[in-house]
Amino acid sequence: MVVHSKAAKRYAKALFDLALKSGELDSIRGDLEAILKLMHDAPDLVKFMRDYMLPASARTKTLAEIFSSRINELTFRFIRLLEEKKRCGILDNICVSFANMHDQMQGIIKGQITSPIMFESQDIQTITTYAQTKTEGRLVLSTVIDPSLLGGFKLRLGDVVYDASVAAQIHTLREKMISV
Amino acid sequence: MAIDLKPSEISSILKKQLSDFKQQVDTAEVGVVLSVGDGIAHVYGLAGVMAGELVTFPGDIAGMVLNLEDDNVGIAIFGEDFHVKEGDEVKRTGRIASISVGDAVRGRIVDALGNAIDGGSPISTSESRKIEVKAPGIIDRADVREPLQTGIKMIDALTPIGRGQRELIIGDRKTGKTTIAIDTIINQRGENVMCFYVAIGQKRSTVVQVYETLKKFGAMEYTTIVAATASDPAPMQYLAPYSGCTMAEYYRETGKHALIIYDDLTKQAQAYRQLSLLLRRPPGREAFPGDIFYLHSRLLERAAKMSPENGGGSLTALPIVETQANDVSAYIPTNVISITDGQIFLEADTFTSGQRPAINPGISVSRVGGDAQVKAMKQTAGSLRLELAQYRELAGFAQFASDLDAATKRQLERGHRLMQIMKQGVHETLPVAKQIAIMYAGTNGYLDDLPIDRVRDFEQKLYEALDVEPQEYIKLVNAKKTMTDEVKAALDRVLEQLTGKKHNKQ
Repeated sequence: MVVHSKAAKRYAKALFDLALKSGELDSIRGDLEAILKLMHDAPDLVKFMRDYMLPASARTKTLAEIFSSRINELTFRFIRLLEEKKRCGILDNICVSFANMHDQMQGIIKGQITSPIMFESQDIQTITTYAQTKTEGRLVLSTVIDPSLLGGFKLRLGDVVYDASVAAQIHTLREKMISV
Repeated sequence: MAIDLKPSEISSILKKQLSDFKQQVDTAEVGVVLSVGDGIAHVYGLAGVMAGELVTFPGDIAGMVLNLEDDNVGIAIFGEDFHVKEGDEVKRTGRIASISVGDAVRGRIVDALGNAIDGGSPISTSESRKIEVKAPGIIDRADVREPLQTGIKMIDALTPIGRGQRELIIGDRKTGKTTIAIDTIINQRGENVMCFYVAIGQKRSTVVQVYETLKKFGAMEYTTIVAATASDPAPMQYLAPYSGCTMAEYYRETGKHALIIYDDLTKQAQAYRQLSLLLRRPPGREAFPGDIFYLHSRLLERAAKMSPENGGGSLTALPIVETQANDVSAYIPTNVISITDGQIFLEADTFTSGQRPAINPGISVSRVGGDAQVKAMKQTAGSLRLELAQYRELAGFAQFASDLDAATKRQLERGHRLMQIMKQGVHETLPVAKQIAIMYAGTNGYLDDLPIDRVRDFEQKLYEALDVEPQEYIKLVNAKKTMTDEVKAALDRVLEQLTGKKHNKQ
């Protein structure tokens, strides 16, 4: 995922280091993922987070109502710090940044299988086994459907793409024919 | 040429291609376009990409990596940026920007990436070279010694250019900068010098004009035009001089001689400024980025004369810079003046007064060309420079005085005539022997008795007389290269014959 804000990375790094020290990485990541999902499902929350026109007391109270006792103490303290620094607007970016850092630490490599039709789980297993030979990290693969590939599949591991789609084959064949 | 191929053969070739086609997995390192605009794309991913590497956007649009940042990569797009969309996949090629070089580009018009744009067949060469390379080192070089004749009297006499030199041509618009460059190319016919004309940010119609002129004079046989016109994206205009230089360097490296003209570097600087501002590099003076000096210095340093151990080839550069209202203290002119080995100054006033080429001999200099000048020319032009300087001084002063003594008057008259023989028509380049002859006539007083409006007629007659067999003088001067008494005597004979009287030199 793309993170645009440099500030988000810094805040995430601070939280990450603290969580690592206190050994609460997993629980905080869970919190942040839940928050991200919440923000995705409830656009009102995003609006509220970014709206510093509300009186500070009201905001603090509302934030406490939403989050306190539902999430890890450290996460809540972190949100209060963001509130104090008026940085609640970048919370979503921080969540993503944190997840990236966590993945990196665990050596997780995100991948994506793009196929023109929904693959059987057996096929996906075969591709995953193949993909595992290409990388040393732990693979987490997601699947995407893209009919424009026509056939075959496309595997993306980090920045590297293995294109075994029919569309790409046709393209190469076309170039070869033109150059004859 | 008719293509000798039957449809059935084509089908069989294609069938063969089809049957040979194996299924293969295409591996590429990719990134995703975050934002795109004004010829610049910011891309996420491409973690391993190198600075200066070529990448491809969908639709085979090329791009060059310019900025490597923490979380994204800034890429200049060499094509129409409206074909590139957010979320598009960008592929690495693993190649640093390079261009095809060799004899195949001779006589062609190519763009900044080396693709033919003259409607001819694609350029196929076995060799390609990196566009950005370091200039030759100190030990690899030699002194500038051989002359590069421009065929223009005033330049070859007063600001001579040597092979491997960098001589700036500077002046306002419409003062004849390009004409000097084109004439120099035309004059390289038969000299075994490969010429490269890099057009940056010019009108396409102007490039066509240049092409037609060169073709008319048979100069396209040894010339390549690299064109990044005003309608090309800024990255192309920025890159074109380096591409041209890389092609020209091929000859320098192989022990041959090349001449490259950058027309003009002001436009390249402007294109680079645009690029830099869009890449969010901090602006400096006149909003140019901090490395604008390096932009030109690294380009012009690649012009060099190589030492005999390195083949002894040379690359001469004639950069052109356009000034505004004769202001040479603007940012780009001062930069380029300080980089080059001299400059040829063109002035609008001189141009409109009919003194063409409109070179100002007072402030035009050549710092290294003197060593390379033909000895005979040096001997003749030595007194010319002095007399022209005295004339300029007197001419200003004489406007106030009505009564002048005879000596001053004579000097003024001489000066008038010398300025007359400095005039030269467009594309009328002259071999060095003839240049020496007319200057010898001027500085030795052969023209003093002629009315001023007859001087140019006399010049024509002299050239015709010199061409008459047995061409004693021309053969002698070309063989000896110095003004020995023998050569002088031969020339005096022609001149006396022409003026019809015995002449006392003064």
